[in-house]
Amino acid sequence: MATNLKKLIGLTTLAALTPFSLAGGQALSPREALLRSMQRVFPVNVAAIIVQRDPANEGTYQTVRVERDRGGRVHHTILQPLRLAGVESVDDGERSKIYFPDRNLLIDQDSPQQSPCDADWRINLASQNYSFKFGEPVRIAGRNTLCVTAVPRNSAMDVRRYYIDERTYYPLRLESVADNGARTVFYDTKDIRYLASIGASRFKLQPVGTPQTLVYSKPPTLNSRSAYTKMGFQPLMPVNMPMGFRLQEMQLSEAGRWKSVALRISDGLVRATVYQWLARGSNFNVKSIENSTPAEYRGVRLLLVSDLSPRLREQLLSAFIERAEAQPQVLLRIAQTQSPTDPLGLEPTTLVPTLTRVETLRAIGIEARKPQSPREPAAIGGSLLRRH
Amino acid sequence: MNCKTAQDLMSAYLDRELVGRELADMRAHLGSCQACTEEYEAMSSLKHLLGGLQVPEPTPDFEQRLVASVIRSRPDELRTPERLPVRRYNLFAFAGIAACSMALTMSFLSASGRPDPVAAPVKDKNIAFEVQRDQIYATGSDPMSGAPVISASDYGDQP
Repeated sequence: MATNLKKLIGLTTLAALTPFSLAGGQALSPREALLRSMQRVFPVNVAAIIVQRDPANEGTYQTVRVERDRGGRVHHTILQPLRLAGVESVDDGERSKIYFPDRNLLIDQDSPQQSPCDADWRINLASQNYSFKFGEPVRIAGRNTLCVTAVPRNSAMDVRRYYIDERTYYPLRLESVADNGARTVFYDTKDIRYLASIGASRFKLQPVGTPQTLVYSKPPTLNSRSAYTKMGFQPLMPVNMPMGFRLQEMQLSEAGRWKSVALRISDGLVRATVYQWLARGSNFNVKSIENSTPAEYRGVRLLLVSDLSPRLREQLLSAFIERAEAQPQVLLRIAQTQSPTDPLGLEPTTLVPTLTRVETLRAIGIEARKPQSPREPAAIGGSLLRRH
Repeated sequence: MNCKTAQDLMSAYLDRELVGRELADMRAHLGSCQACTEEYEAMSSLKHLLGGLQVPEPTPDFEQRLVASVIRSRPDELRTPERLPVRRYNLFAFAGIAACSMALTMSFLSASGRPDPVAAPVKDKNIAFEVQRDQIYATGSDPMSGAPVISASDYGDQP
């Protein structure tokens, strides 16, 4: 018994020390190194200054101070640009809070860390869609790195490079490289220190006075049936998504007057969300949302949000509309047309005037056209509302 | 910080130009002073209203027509360099007329029954805000997600 206990303690200690005992990390495969960097918890306390893309202005960057302790608690403070300076967020594992001092507004929602870590699921999926290899390492913020290059098996996707601290496996830089050589840096580390400890007060927000507080709970998980019950329509879900994307979870995103189905999809490395909601009474001019591509199909509006390029977002979103083209009855199950003989609104032909493809295009002011290049999706029965 | 100082700095605060101690003092004062908070909210609303006004786009040939029209009206003055003071005077007059014209246009637009130019995008902003907030949840604090760690800040008219 005592021997087994000693073995257990020994193994636990070994597991805890493994990240530091592997000199240079070269004993790990690229896949394993990437998996370690996907974890929510790292064996070190981190204080870093990073730059990342400004959400409101693609192509510009914001500077963020990051504090993350071994327990997974995180504190972000935006330092630049000036219009965002002072915005803070804290995630203590229970609640995730964001404070906007200029408006004295506090968003208080369940921590996403309450959901199980999906690193294993993602790396397995990523292994199907990418091949991994070590690239040329560089020094970032004074740290030696491992460069894990993820080469997509689908040529439409970009190569992604992950620069990971070779001792702690903390991610220091993420960038993508398009087939034309265009390089996009998603975030980069300018300074990083591993602290012995971080005070607990760093993970408590201290708003001025009494802020206006918006409280949100974890969005409930839906299946196809419950989505229909909650939303009044059957969400579009392609059988086979392009570029190796898979559905990770379907959730109900509900706030105020706006309610939508949020389909979390991923190819293992890239995350995306496809929101779908009924168009009734809502304005669809959502061009102000960065990293998004909207579409509309027979009264259902779709919005894909992801850090993918606009071309890839359109291609991915097209699959959802092609699904509707193939099985129009799916979308025609609209709850507003319930009748005594069809309490669930499952009689497609009696529910909504069926528009032809041309009528649909005319109704939204877009003419059908042939794709201009092999990579461009064809205009289809629904419409992608193009943004450039 | 007292109310007078707060009033002096209000405009800079609204434009997010304050930093450091002044910014902290200003926030603290607004958290405790009802009058200044109301003043700030009024100025903030005014700023949003003005920011939401649609700027009419001139027609593509506007510049060409304008230049041609000015040259037709005073060809001699514009072609004679030594009469610069007169031209400057005309520019001031032109600027005055343009300002009056803009004011009249704004008055006409506001009185002609057009919908409030700020009212329309409010719903969009709600959706934008909720999407951004949901994205914060979806990406969490995952540094590998590629998504910004904090957003939802530029979509002010939350539900």
